[in-house]
Amino acid sequence: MTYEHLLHDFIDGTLDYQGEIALFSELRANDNLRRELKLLMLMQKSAAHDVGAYMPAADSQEAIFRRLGFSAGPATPPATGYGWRNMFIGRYMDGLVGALVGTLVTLLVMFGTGHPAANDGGNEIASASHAIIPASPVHHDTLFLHDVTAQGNGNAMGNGAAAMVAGRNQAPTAPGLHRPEQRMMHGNGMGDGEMPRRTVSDRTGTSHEIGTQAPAGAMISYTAPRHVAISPAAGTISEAISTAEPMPAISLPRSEETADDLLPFSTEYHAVASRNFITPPAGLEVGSSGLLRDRELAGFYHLGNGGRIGIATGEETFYQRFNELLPTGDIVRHEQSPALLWGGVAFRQSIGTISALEPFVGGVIGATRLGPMGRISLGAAYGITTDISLTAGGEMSALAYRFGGSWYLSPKYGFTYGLSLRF
Amino acid sequence: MRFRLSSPNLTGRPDAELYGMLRGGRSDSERAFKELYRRYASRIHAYCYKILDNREDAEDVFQETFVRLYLGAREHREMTNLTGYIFRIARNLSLNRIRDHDDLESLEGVEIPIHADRSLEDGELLDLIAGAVELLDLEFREAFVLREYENMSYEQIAEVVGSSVANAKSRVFRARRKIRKLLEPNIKELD
Repeated sequence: MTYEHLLHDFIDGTLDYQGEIALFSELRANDNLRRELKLLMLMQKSAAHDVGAYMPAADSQEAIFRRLGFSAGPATPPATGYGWRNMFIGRYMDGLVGALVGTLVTLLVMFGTGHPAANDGGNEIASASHAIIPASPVHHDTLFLHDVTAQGNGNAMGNGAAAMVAGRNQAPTAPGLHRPEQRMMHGNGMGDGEMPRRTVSDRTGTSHEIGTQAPAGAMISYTAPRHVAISPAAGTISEAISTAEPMPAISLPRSEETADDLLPFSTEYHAVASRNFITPPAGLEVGSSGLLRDRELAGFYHLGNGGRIGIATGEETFYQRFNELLPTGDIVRHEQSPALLWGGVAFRQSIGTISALEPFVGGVIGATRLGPMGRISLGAAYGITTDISLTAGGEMSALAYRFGGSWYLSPKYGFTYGLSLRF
Repeated sequence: MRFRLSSPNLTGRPDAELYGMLRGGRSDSERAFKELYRRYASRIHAYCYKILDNREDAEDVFQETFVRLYLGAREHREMTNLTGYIFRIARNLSLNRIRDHDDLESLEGVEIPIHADRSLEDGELLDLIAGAVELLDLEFREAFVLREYENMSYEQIAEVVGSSVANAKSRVFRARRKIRKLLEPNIKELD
């Protein structure tokens, strides 16, 4: 076998170790052979350089599709060179639809089970006979309020006298969560004579005697010249006389489920639409596609003060371009776009609120099979409810990898959006 | 409410699976065909241009190749090597076209320009090599294109051109040698 054959085998990548030793030894001494090696490498380079000039025209593609009765346009958007419009409407439509469907399902479940967050503000007054029902911290207690039933001998309470009895209801399915509402309750006064035994009844029909312990949670009174009151301090149902003008009933502030009422965990699902800083050459094969391709799944533990930390995983394509120094002294450039599964630590810090928007900065420090990766993002979360929010923001990410003793960086930038569920 | 979901991504599916989908329902076959087109269009296009060296013929053969690929699949052909199969379609169509055009301009006597008086830029050298490829005889040009442009192994080349592996390797070897000979006057630029 001649050195020329060895050279061709070397170019084809089929030369064995012994052959390489013999070839490299000869290359050091043989100018013609070195020249030929360079020419062979240039032939390969020429082919790679030339093939880009033979991309089929759009007309040809349309002609083929038309002949076969297909619609124009590729089924799969190319890995590079797509516009922002396609990025969101086409490639990431499933992510958007998934977020929307997830939101709808969650809302349906909430309404179906009487989740307080869903009912909050949804109902007004169940019936006219129900007086004030302050919307308490709803997932804790629900207070019910009812007309007073005056009983007893003699002049107990006059017609229409009412009391409020607030009862604790642990069951969130109890009907009738109401906004606080002012309601004046007037008594007709008490007559002379023996003090009657007075009771008030709550909504369930249970009677409560004046002077006895009020149900837990009772904390509101109404005013009238003579009235039944529930003392928040003593916790007893009491009777009091007031000379003051009738005053509006105390309205408790409308309750809302706050973040503090939730568990400190959340999960997020994001779609990532990003581009490489360096545009890969057209036609470069993209690596395998996985379930999490261009998606990110994260779980967070909320630290308080708007901070959270957790773990995240996803899959992204990073364009890599690096050089290899051959024994001949020539440099070969490698280009590839592998889809890499990554996992790492995620963190986020809210930076105040603007109405329902909660701006944040966040990031991920993780690893891939090729090297470490990192991401920083700046965006905002829009709270649909206390425990559901949509997030969107800009992001920059980078993969660091090592080849031939050198470190390389594959930076990307893009847009991320998704859904966050708080438990 | 209706949502129009985007098509499942087919980029990770193997060729054989996509080829099988061509026999499926219209939606599946269209998506599979478009994915195969995305994978092979530029390669087949380059092959046709390099082999035929005639824009009009190359476009015709290129389009016909994909149409036949689809129609062939509809006839329930089994497929183990789609790359070889699609290149064989393109090759057969190209050879037919060459036979139909005996009056094609001969490249005999055409020579590579010599730039002995000045240094060549990298791009110029690459263009010269591309030009030299076009001067090769068909059997060598084809083997060289499949090897260098399409990155095929010698086994794949042998399958496409219908020869032995040794013969395929020999064709590529001789093609490279011929190119070197054509470029000899400029080779000193490589020093």
